[in-house]
Amino acid sequence: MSLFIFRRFAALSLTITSVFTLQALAAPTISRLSPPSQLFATGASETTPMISRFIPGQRFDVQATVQPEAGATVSRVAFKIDGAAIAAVRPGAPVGATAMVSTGLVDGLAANSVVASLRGYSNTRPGVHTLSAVATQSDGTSSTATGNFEVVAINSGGKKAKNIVIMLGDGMGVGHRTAARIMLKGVAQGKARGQLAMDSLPYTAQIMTFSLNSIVTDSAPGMSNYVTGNKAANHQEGVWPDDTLAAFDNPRVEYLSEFLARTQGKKLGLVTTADVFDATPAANAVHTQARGNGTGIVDQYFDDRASTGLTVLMGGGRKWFLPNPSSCTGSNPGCGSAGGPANFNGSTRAAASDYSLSADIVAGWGASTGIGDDAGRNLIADFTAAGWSYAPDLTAMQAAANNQPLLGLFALSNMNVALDKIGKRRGTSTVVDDFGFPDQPMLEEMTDKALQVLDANSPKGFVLMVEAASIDKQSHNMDADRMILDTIEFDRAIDKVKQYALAHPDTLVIVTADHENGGAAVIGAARVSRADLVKRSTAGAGTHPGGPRAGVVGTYEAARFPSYAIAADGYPRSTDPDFKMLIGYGANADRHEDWLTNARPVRDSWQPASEVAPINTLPGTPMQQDVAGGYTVTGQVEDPVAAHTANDVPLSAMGRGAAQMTGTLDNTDVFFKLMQAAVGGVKE
Amino acid sequence: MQTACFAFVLLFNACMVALPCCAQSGDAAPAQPRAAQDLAFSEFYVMPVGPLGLQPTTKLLGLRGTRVRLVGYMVQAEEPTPGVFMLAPQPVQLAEVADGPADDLPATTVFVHLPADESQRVIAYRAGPWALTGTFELGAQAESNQRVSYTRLRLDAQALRPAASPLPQTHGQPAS
Repeated sequence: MSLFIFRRFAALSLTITSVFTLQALAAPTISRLSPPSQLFATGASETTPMISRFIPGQRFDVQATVQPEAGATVSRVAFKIDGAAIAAVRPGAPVGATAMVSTGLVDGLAANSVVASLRGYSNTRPGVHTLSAVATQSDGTSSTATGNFEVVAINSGGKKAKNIVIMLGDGMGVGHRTAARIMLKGVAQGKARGQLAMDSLPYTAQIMTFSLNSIVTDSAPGMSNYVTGNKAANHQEGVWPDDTLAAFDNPRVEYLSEFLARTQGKKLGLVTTADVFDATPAANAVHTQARGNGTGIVDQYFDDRASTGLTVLMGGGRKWFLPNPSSCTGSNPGCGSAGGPANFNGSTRAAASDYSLSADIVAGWGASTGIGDDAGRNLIADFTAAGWSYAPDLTAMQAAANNQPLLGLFALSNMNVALDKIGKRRGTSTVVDDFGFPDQPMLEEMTDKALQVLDANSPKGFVLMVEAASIDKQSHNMDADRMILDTIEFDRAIDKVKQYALAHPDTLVIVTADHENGGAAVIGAARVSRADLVKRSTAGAGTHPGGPRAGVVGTYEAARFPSYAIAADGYPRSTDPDFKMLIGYGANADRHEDWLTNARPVRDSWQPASEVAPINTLPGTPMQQDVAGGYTVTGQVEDPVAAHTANDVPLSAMGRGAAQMTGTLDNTDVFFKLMQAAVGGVKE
Repeated sequence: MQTACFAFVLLFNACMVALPCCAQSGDAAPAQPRAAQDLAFSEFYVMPVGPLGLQPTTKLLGLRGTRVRLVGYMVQAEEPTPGVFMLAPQPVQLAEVADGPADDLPATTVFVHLPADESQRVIAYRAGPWALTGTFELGAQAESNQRVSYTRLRLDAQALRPAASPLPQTHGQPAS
């Protein structure tokens, strides 16, 4: 730590300390207090907004970072709620659900600093509560820090929602929905020719998506905030920040799934087109500050399935479930035959991304301890041994028994996107073959199966989260046509859920997004035909006449009404019709643009060296095609990919309790409305 | 170690221009490298991928430790790692800051390791197919970018030194 940083930190600590009740001139400093509160962060100069809120009985961790004076050590940290002691934490091994950690801390803390925790606390009394931490150091001096939190009342007496379905279009903003509607339904004389399924849901709200530490969230808090009622920091899910280095020991807050599994016996289904360890699905069931730690995340899916009610898990991500052959002992089935086929199974399991939990977390949450270094674990075998069906492809998924839990892993990491999956089914693309996964399900097929399995296994109801992940991932790539087709795929999945909810009126469905991505906007439509676009795409004219911009980008009335012919499979026959819709981006990276469907993944260049002298027979890559048009759009962000934005996102809802979803809401507000419907019930 | 030599291939639309193998300016004429065998990404694994993961082909296993020539696309990473980059059979753009290891990397992605004296060098992204020749290594191995590799191409010393003046960008126009 540089002296400059230390001085800054010391000054900050002094500021924080000075505004709290100082019981001595020399005293330890409490530099962090969780749950987060504006009261603590501002030294009591502000009390609003209320940052941390819970429903009665929802569990969370209480934690403080204490930095003693030079030469002193921390001898005790006491936590009080409204003045009444709830825990006293002392050095040494964890005692029950309490622990004082003094090693493995972040840089920048004073010598002998500690992180003191009480795990799994809950409070059933509605109202604002004061949280105090009293830290005492070895010379007997002490200091107190004060924060607060709120327990939000649940009104009882109404009809309860038995099932909750969260349809999460990752990165899907208003622009994505508008583009999908125009492409799928069309517009005539100023009116949409039809509605998307998500448009047909009767209640709509506007959602603010900020995270704990930024106006622009990533997917981890973007999802987590909906299902904890609390703000997480970027890259973190189901936790608050802490001052330890460990990835899985942050102070936790109970998920909606965990609460409803614990109190009502509900089951959980997680369905995604991404890798199943990815932030959105994980932010419903796993608590970590490191959303990339795939090994530990998928292990906890299985190890803590009783706590979450996990019954359906489908998506990509097989690479985390296969035993890493360099780490296994040889006793694991299909693992460890050096030089043999098992050495190439594609596993990415690694000790560095694995988990193990301390005794206080295990005691406070009833969580599994974890091994911490079991890269050789065969998690598919663990799932099947526990009675789960394992589906590696669509055929197996559809054949899986509905009365068993279901694990579906349809790709090594993310699944292929809708445009390429549809291309396979139409016989016009081999992209999914080239990836080695020719029989991948569409999202609506996964959703339909998930509903069947959950319906058959959840007598007390279920929570289902379905994520259309590649709306976001293709928005990062500024691949407009793949982005829109994944939105259409998502809408088809929504229609499946809608039909289920119509038949099961005790189901609450929300359709929303964790954040917007790219600042995607329908900017107009091409003024030229496809053939003209193709010609311009190789003209090298850039912004000059004959290039992809001049005379092409039709705004206002020049955009007219783009029209896409829809095939029997429900997707556009072509995403490059004459006078096609054009998409622009407000958070774009540098890109070349020619408006034509991006050929990436490029079928014909997939195996560029697979034949003799193949390269001179191949078409250009998308980048080369775009370069040939000569039109470069300079990005407003310096990253190589487009970025998330802080734009509000639309939320649509139907079913029991949906009428609560109106107005402009914080994403955490949605949690309390879901819980009102599931726990207290609503009037119909 | 033999004098490094690798083929550098640029593709402009439908036309390939291969620059000749090179030696550092002032060097004596390079020794002939061991012959490199062409390997296609399609020859790595049995396709489709099985329920329990990848299964290598006999040809792949037989190339362990030999000189191999691969043509692929440099993976565009947001956060490049010194000393190593990934080569994929198609253009791939990673958004690892936002998505971490939830990615679209094909299973056949090869980890290309720079020579030992360039282990701290970060290779700038370059678009288009790229032919690389080096020693082929097999087996699961943890990489410095927190991923696990199964196939690696270890480039010879000086393999990435400038070969010749780059061809002028012609916006896709055929170079010949």
